[in-house]
Amino acid sequence: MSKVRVLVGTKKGAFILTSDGSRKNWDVSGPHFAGWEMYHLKGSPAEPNRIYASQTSGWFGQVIQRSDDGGKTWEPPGTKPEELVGPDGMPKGQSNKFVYEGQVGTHKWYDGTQHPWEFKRIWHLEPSLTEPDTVYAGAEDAAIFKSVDGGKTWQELSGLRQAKGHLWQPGAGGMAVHTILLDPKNPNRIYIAISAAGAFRTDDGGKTWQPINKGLKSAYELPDPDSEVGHCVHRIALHPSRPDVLFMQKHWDVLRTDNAGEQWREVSGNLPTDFGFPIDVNAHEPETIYVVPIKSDSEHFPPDGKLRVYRSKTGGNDWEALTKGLPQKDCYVNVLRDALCVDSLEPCGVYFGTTGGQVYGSADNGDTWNPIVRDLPAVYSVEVQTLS
Amino acid sequence: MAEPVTVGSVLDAIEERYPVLRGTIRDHGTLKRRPFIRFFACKEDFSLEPADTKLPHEVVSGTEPFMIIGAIAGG
Repeated sequence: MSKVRVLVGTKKGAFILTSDGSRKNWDVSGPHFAGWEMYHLKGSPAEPNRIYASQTSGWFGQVIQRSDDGGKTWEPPGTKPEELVGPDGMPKGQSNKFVYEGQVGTHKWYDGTQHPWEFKRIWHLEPSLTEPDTVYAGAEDAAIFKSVDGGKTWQELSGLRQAKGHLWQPGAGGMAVHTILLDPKNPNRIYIAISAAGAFRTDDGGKTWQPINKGLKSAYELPDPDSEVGHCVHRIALHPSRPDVLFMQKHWDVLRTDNAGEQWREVSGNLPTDFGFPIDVNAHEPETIYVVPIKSDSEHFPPDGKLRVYRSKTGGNDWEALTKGLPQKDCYVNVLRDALCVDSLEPCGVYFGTTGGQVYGSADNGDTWNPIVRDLPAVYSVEVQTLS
Repeated sequence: MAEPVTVGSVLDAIEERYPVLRGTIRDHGTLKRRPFIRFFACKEDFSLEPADTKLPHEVVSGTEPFMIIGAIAGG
């Protein structure tokens, strides 16, 4: 019997929502890590009971949490007494050690001056498609780290910062690697996106990276129209059947590339506004994409107080509003970039969480929606595992 | 502890004894005090003092504690 497990990271803890394939009745588990900022949770496609989570706090910094039983119990990797012990047999957790490799260097600051790289938190965890112990982490200040021992230790893939890192600049929310896409057909290819540096691609497993921002227009933010880096990319998404085709939600504009990022073109079309954060692709229809438009860069809420997901079945340009079951008045929540996802059941389920604490689900490609929970803390991220 | 007993040497000893606390009081690598953590001893604030600042003899003798306190801030 099919099941879905929705992993929700919020400002004050994590929640796990489970249902059978009908996706009608839901069990709610949580809050896990009550009181802590849970930026992101994601399960391993290779071992679905293995889930990684990023717990952060301004007081004590970054904590990586890991579950090996589908989210029932958690511990930071490598803190069992028999693992990595220090003097007197005390556990020697290294799972929170994210140190930039080599000469740390500087990047542009908000005022255009140079500022040293400083680790703040992990925004996104991306488990390997094939190895449960391998996982990538997207960090603020922007960098990508990799663990091959289940999150116990981390190594920076420092080649990324060599791709003109000194010209990268933070967006309003910080300078972070917030999206990591693993190419299912090519284990050496990874795409990432950074606010506000742009999208990047590696073709050698992460040793070297190149900017892939040709075609992006950021006239208000970047005076040079041909800038290779410095674009504020909010999110990128792909369908596993066509990893050369990516869709992008930028700080203004929705775009697509059909050649692995060598060239992008705008597909905003008839969207009421093309500002927004998340974007994702239907699990069974590679040309069906979803965005959640918000009014502007200074007003992060839906236009006219109507919460509308927009869907294009043509890979962009022609969009329709999805509203059934979503509030159409007095609604001023936002959906953050990691808070929209799809399952792979038939029909495709679509889920998103809001800064107002709601998680909505659709079991029919977005035609109709229902709230799964309404009163969580502000939702930072939503991921879903399809379990058979 | 060996003399001189300083802010830094106390933190080194704590992290040696409890390695899981590395990165939670001071950042990994830079060893900078994390911004929402404060250090106090004998009613004095040692948060902004350099790591080689000597601690009062009351702390060295064990009469007074060296306090590591999370700020009541941050929401």
